[in-house]
Amino acid sequence: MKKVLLLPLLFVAATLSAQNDAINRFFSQYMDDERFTVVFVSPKMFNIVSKISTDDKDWESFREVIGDLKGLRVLTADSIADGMKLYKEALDKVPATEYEELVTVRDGKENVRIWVKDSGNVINELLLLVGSPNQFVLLSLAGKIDLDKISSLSKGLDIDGVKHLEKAKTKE
Amino acid sequence: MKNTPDIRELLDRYWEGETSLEEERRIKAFFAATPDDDLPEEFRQEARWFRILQSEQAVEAPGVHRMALSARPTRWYGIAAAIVALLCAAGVWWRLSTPGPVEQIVQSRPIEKIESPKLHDLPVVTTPDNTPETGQSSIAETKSTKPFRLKKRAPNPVEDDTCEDPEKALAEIKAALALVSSKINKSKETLDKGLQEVDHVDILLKRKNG
Repeated sequence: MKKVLLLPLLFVAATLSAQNDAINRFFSQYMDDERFTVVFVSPKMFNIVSKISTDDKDWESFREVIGDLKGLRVLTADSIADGMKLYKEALDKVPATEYEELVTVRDGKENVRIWVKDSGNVINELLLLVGSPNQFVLLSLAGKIDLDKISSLSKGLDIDGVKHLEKAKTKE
Repeated sequence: MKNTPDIRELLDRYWEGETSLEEERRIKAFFAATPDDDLPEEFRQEARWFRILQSEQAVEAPGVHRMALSARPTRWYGIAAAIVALLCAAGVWWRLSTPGPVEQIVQSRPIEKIESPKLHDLPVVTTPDNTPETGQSSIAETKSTKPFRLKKRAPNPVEDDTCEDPEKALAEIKAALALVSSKINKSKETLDKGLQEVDHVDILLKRKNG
């Protein structure tokens, strides 16, 4: 009887701890690989950045978005030969039971997927995966995420995110 | 039925205290299996002795019952342990699911050591409670909140800031949000395009039917 009770509990515990760990392991696995650019922004840095004052007219709307964010992790690679292999590898690691799939787009050779994790009506994590034969991006955004606000940001952001991420230096 | 001279010999050794446990078991088995009527007269007295022994052994010690009762709390301990394990696992999972804050380590670090030439180049950080001596207070505040690489613990590159400069971090955040935004908008465009095509087909069908 004890075993009957204990086994499901231990199974659930092990599953819970393993789910998100899979994404973390994926980041850890490739972050020392020189082909990849790694970006990590801590909650503390988000707090500091949200207090910066600039003359940018779009800054307020931008500040409104990042004020609610708590963390950012990006793993990106450009001009690689096995982009689709990495895409599929990452795809297998996303815990389908934990994240809700929001977007799936295939545009030519580029595959894009976005998942969200919410509690109630609030999205508290967003996972973006982009894969094409020569490009790979895995992005994880944590905090209180407002998709409408984020999608309207592109008007004020004059940089192309992908291009900028490609140019970003590998971990300083 | 065993050979009685054998049993006689075993019994003699038993009373001398020279039998092994195995031999004693054989004696007990013999008397248990043989009814009194089948026993030779010389064994009947000893048979009673061994039967008494056997009946005494069959009585359960009170401790056994206590053990049986104590099994219930043990089960609860097991369930409690499982719940604790579950909570621990959930805690670990929650901790891993959100990037960890670094406030505690920042606070534990002496301010003198944080000082860096870059601090004066930082944009002024304004907070509602800033006083006129903002020059000093804002720098002091920036000092206490400026992130840095966490060297005091085992390195965990995933959780360390890759940009120590807030402006660079801002550029990374903008880039990431631009990427997310562009992909969301792209999916909306794709969906709109798909819906327009559906509408177009719908119109064509209506015309055909009309």
